[in-house]
Amino acid sequence: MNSNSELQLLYLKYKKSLLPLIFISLSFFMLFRIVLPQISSISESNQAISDKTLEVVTLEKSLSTIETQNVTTINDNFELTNRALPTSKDVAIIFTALASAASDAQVDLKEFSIKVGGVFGKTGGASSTSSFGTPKVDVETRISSIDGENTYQFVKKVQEKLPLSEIKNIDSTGALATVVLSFFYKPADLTLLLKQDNVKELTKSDVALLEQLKSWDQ
Amino acid sequence: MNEDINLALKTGKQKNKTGLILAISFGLFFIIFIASAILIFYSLILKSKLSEITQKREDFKSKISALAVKKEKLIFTTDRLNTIQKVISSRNKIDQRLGQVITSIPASFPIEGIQATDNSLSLKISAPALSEFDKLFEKDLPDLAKNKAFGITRIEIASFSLQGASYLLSLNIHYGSQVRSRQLTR
Repeated sequence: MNSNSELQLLYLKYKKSLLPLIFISLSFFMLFRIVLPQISSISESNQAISDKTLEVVTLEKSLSTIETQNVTTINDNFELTNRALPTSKDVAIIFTALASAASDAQVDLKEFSIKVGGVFGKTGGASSTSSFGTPKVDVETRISSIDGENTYQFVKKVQEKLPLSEIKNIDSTGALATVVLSFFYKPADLTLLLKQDNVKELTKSDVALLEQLKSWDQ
Repeated sequence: MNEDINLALKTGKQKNKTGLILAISFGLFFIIFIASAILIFYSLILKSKLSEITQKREDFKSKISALAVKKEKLIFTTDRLNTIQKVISSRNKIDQRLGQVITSIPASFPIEGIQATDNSLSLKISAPALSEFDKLFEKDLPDLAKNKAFGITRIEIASFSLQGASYLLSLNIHYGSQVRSRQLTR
């Protein structure tokens, strides 16, 4: 009974301060439980909208590029780039390129040896790579020519054939010449093909490069 | 009773003060309430927009996956073209250098031997008469060395001898490493 009267006295004393206290408490509650989390959520949503809008624009462009490209042109370009840079170490196409260059330069292809390297596994052994990581197959070729001019014609012609190659060394004496060269290849990256949706249109330099490759693919 | 004590005046001041505190606290509450309502509403709008964009993205993805073969071939071609560009621009220029030297030397000199690497080129040429070499030493070789585009740093005569009925000249041509890096950036 005594404590009740004390509480009643306290209530009567602070009755007028109770309502402002409730308002201020509610204000703080709403500030920390609603306003600040919502500001953070809005910022995240805006970022997500911006990212996804960009992705949608890219996808729209990709779809437009895919739809507008002619199937025949796509297939031709695909096969041409695949001939220029095969997906594997293909001895047959290397021999074809060497034989064709030898025929154009009017030299006799006496012999050639290939360091094929690893067939399976990560440590490929003798197979080398270029400075930018493209694998290559080293080939040593022996040719018989009338003179040095024909040897020059052979190295010139072989670099204008597909698959792409690079002359590493020429050692010619009299009618015989040894030419060491590397043929480039690039295994297909399936992850790139399956996961990527960003299809870019061919640039002017890409088109010019395709034209150059076509002229070498005779 | 003490006459100095004015109870009525004190109660009025207290009432004003309490009323002001109540008004301020209510005002604060009202502002935060309105702000919360606006933020929740705006957040809902953004979520709806996000869901709309996500739906749009999925639509495009399904349309693209319907054209998967074309897509893969285009990506493959673009990727391969980038690598081909790198391969072509980084290839050493042995054939070009050899061509430049061969075209600078008169056709009357048969080429007896060639040794070429990334940074040097050795050439053996022959002629039946000494007089043939006059123009070569006085004009053709200096002109070749002077051409900055060729990037030749030094031309040496490694040997000059008589072999059988003809004279044999062996030339060593050196190239600077900066030439290759310049060619790489083209």
